[in-house]
Amino acid sequence: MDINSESIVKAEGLSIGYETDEGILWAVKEVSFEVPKTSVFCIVGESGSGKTTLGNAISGLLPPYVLTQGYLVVDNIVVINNDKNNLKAARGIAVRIPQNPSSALNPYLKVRALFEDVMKSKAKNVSKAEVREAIVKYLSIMQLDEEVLELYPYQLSGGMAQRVAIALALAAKPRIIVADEPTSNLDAYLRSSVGSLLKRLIEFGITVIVITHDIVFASHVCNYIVVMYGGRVVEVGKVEEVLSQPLHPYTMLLIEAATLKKVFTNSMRVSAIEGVGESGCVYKSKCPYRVNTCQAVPLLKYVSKTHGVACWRAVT
Amino acid sequence: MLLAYVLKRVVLSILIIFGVIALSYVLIYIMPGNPAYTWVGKPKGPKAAEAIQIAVRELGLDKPFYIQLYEVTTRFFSFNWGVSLRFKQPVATIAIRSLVATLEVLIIAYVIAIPLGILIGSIAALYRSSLGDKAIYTLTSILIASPRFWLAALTLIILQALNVNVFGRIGVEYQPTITIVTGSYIIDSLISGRIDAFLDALTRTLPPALLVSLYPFALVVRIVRISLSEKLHEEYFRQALSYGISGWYAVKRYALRSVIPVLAQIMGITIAYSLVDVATIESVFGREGVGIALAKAIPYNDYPLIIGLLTVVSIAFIISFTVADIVHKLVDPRVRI
Repeated sequence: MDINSESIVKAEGLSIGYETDEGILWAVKEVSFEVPKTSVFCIVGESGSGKTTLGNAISGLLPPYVLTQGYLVVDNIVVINNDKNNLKAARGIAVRIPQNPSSALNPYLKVRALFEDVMKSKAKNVSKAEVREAIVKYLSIMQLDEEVLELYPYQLSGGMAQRVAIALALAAKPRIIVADEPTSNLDAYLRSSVGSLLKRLIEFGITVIVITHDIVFASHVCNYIVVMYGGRVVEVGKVEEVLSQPLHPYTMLLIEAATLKKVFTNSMRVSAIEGVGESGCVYKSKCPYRVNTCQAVPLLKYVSKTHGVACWRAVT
Repeated sequence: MLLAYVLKRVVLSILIIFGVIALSYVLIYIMPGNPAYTWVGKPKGPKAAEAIQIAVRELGLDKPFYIQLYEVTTRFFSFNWGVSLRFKQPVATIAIRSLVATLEVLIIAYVIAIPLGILIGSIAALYRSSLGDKAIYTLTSILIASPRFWLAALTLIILQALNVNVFGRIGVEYQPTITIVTGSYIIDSLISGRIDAFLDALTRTLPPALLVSLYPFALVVRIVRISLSEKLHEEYFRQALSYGISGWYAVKRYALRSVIPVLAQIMGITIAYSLVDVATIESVFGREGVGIALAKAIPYNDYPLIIGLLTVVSIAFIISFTVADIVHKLVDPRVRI
């Protein structure tokens, strides 16, 4: 497949699933998108929409028994090529920032040892002085004191652990950082500071992929947005396009729920995904505009160069 | 803080040893048989009754029970362990000699069992449900289930047939040539600079040690296999992979490390179990040891020796539990002891 030099992550017809007793359960279904270099790219969706699985695929953290289809290219490395995968190759290039940093830092090692491990894994023969210098640099970017180096992870507060986790990610010198729900455990003040922190990562030539259910947070942080529902991408585009002119009913609903602005005449609340296993459009059981054509799966159609939507309404 | 812990442990140990002595004396007291009869050499004839009477007075067995108990315990804590009624040797000498002989086997067994068990267990965990894993699982099941004394007899017969003499602790021809320092022939032969004697002692110790190691080895494999495969799904292990830390290094530092506390605790108990397990193997191989000495002391009501051996074994138990706790503390910074 051709790789656009402007994009750093490219998915084409990507499906990711697991074998269950009732057959294969596809968590991600025929997803296609491109992440432009040094952008902040958000994947928005509710629990069960497949966004975390997609993030794990990009950072190479899918379990070995995973089933895959389609293509996933990360920084010019083919990570998934139909049923063959090379997930290990993505690790260290696309680094994940954990959802719960307190449990994601090894409780048996001091923060200094964590830094040393991460840096040694990238470059085998770095001198101790170089390592020390680099650690100080990454700590200062994250506004952390050098004292944290002598602490064990259980001695850090939630916000500090979060910043340590991000500093460690920077120490791995990644091309991409995948932030999985970076704000789920934080209060409002810390949320905005994490947001601006993530935006700053672009200065280091890093592409940031943010996985979140919070469309308000996404609108503050991101350049591009992908909205997922039931394992499928329902809308994709620049953040201003999607937010000002949402085309998919689900996106409209998310924006309405977040801003308390009425979009639908007969307003309804966002409820959890159900009936995803049915054929046809993933959103048809919830959609207020449901028509007969929704029995077939709508393909992602682009209305502008960047703005795409998977809804029969937008096409016809 | 570690000092305070050790002090606390020492005080606790003294109480435990006090309890062990008191309890063993009570058991010996209610046991049939007369220690005085053994002490005077099982006399027969008309003067026998008189001789036994004298012995009873000499041993203080005519005093009330609580006085006897008091004398026995205080004697122990003043390091006057008395003389074995059966062997007419100081109890401390016999107890320590037996313990050293047993520890020789036990230490070699565990030095083999723990690292090898961790290695094999890790392989099983990393290649879970592969053919190798299944083979390891089956093998360890057999090892845990098979009676060691039977394996010991089998090994001895096979080695005899191959003309390898592994009976006893050291060949009689080497025994007089070694100066006894620690009581372990393996170490003493090296101190005396006798490589040939050292090799002889080692060849005689290895087969029983290997047999003793089977149980802890199988146990370590099982524990590591289960705990490690659990730790491989731990959030911080996956995060380490994401940071680009890979291979055996990641497994060692980010998964195996957290298995060690559990392993240390279980090994502390298993060593205590092996102290008993080793007795049958020692008896098959004709070695000295705590278990054998105890088996010889009990039928003769040799209460000083029984108490001496039990005390020595309790101290060994307490030390192994303490070491397990200290290992746990050293590995896991969150633990306070």
